[in-house]
Amino acid sequence: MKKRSDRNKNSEDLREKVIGLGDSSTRKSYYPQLQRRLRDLKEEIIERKRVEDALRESQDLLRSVMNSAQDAMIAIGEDGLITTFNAAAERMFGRREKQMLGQPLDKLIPEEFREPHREYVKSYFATGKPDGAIGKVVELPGLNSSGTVFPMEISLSPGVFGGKKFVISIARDITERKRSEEERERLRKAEAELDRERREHMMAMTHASRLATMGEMMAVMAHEINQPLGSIRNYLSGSFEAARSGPGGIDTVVVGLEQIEKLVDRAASVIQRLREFSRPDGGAVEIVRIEEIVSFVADLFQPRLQRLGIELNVSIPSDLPSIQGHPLRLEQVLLNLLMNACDAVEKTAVKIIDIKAERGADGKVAVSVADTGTGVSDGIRDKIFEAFYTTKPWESGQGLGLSISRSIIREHGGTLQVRNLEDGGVVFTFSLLPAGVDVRSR
Amino acid sequence: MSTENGFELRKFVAPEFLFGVGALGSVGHYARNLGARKALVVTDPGVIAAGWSGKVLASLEEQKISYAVFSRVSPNPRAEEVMEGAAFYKQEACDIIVSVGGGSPTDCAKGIGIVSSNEKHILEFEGVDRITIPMPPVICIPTTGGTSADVSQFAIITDREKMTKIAIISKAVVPDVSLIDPITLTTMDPYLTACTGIDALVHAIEAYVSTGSSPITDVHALEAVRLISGNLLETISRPDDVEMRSRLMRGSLEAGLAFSNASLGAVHAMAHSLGGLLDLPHGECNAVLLDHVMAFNLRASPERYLRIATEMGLDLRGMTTRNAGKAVIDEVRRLKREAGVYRALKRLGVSPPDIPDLASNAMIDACMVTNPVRPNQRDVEVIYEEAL
Repeated sequence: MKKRSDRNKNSEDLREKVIGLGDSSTRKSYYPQLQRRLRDLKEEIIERKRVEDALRESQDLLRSVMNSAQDAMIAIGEDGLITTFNAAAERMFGRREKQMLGQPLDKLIPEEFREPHREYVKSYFATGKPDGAIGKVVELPGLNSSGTVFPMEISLSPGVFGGKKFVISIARDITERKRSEEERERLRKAEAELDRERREHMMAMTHASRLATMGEMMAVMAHEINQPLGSIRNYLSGSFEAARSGPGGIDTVVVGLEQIEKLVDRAASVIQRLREFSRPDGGAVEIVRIEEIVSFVADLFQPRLQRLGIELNVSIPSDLPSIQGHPLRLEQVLLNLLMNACDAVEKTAVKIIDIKAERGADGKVAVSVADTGTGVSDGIRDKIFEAFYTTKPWESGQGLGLSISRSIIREHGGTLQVRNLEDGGVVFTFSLLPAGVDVRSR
Repeated sequence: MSTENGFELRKFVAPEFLFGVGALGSVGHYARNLGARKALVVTDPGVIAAGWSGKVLASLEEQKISYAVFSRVSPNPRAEEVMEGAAFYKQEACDIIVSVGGGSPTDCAKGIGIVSSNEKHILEFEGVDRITIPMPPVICIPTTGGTSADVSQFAIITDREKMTKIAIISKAVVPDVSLIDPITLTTMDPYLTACTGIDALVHAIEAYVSTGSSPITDVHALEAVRLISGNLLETISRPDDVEMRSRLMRGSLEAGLAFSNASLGAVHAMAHSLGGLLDLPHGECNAVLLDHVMAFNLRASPERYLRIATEMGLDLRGMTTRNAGKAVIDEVRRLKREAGVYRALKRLGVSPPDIPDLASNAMIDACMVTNPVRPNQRDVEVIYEEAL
């Protein structure tokens, strides 16, 4: 029964609809559809306008960014024709964007590069294979509107816009850079050359000075050797006489020979020290103890000091740190200073030379050589460090000692200064970095 | 079930129509006024041969409206023909549809319109109010005085795969313009005139007794009954009489206006079933079934049938209702016979084993719901058997 009434209901509903009483029964009308379409269109227009505005904005932004770029930006499409030519490109090539859009790149490329470039572009867009320049930074020649070829640094990047491939090149005129690079290279070479010359010069000077010092030393040493030789001759004469006087003179001969042996040892030791001083300069930096240098030089001078009656006082604290340097060159400095000190006190009444080494407040090791001479007058204090300046008679030296000494000390990262003492005399002080401090970093 | 209540909700939809001799020649103007640039002209070989299609094309040309002609339309238009026509419409970039012919080209044109704007297969629109997007403008030029598809909300399409006819029913299927020119009827042979005439009479009778009828549709239905029954035989005998043709054409139009709004009944439900299963001509099926269905329906609303009898010119005075009913049916049978439509279903190729399937399909046809009596399966089978 229920089924029956359901069927009745269904067929009653269908009847209502068939005679047009269904809810959705309506005569064909385009109006609702048109209204809908109009609304959609209106929204579409608004949306499109918004998109267009955004697009224009981003285009403007892109454009101003591109035009404010320092580098030239040039894009080409698959046909090889220019689609973008920014302000920097206008400046670089001396051409206007308007003239260049839609043009091939030919005008911007020196003639001999045009055909290879065309081939390359064609092959790239055909195969999509970026061999060669794409994706790299390369140097290529450019051609500006006045026909000048100039070097460019150029980076090529591929892209896709609106389904179409393009290549954008960002180029920079590197004429200036190349020029300054070359200039820098030239300067660097000249400087290196100068440096080398200076070093050679310095070496030569050091050597010359050394030779001069040795010459001076020779004169001193000759005297030192001459004296024992004279004594030896005297003892020999006495010994001969005693030997000729018969067997009773043998004791006298023995005493003479003993003296001669001593004198020979003394002369030999002088020569030995001279040889040590003239040993070749290996140039290596070593850990050096100041007292060794001082005692070596003092020993070398001992005979002379004795002969001239000069009193040498050495004061070096036992805990003085070692320094880093060339022992031979430092010996030379000390020798020079001692030699000058000897010369300074040679004719004075009080002949005292003080060599002092101490650790300064700045942590440096300061070595000073003070004499009781007449000092250095203000007028020449600045000159004494100049090469070939000397106050001594020409045969005594070349006037290189202090100049070389200052160079050597500077090379060690230190300073060499001179100061007159209150009660006459002068003190030369050089300071050195203690070992463990890197000289080069100074 | 009574339709006498004048306060029941009823709707009436009709296209703009131009009726009279020369209506056909204004198709170009109408197409132009509807903003057309290219028309798809849907017609069939018979109508082309009669020369009406050519006249339509000439009128379009006059208004410089280009066109494409689609004429692969069977007597019962098929779904695949509709789809082919829609593809052709799209391919030719048309923007208006003009149908020239009887029910077949008209229904096919409607189908093409539906598919073109909704972009779905035509069979998906089976049922009531399934058209969501209005079809392009449709101008109909009927050349038979029967189907009135040119003013109706129906499109009947044959589903060859399922061997059924589907009904697409919607006010949105009512054409925009119908150009009803009686001249076009003059080329119909007597048998076609008879079949289409009886078909129109069936429309009028079914609409009048339909449970969806209204005082407004009644006016058209009864006028149709009067015009058709009173002029059919004479028209057949005087085929070139334009006055007679006009009366018949108007009868068909009045019937169309009535049934498009009041819907139909068992005759159409059963005829659709026959057409689908056996591909029989629609008008003839209607004609064959009419009196048998009337006999079945008579008891439901005898007074309506008596009114029909009056319009048919019968004098029922002094008759019992029962005899008066018989008299109406007899009159219909006489009309059929004298018009030359007296073949029974057997002659049309129907055999008894077909009947259960025919009845099942008829039972679910949308036209059945407005039949004054709700028959059961067996009732329908019996009617088919009687009509054998």
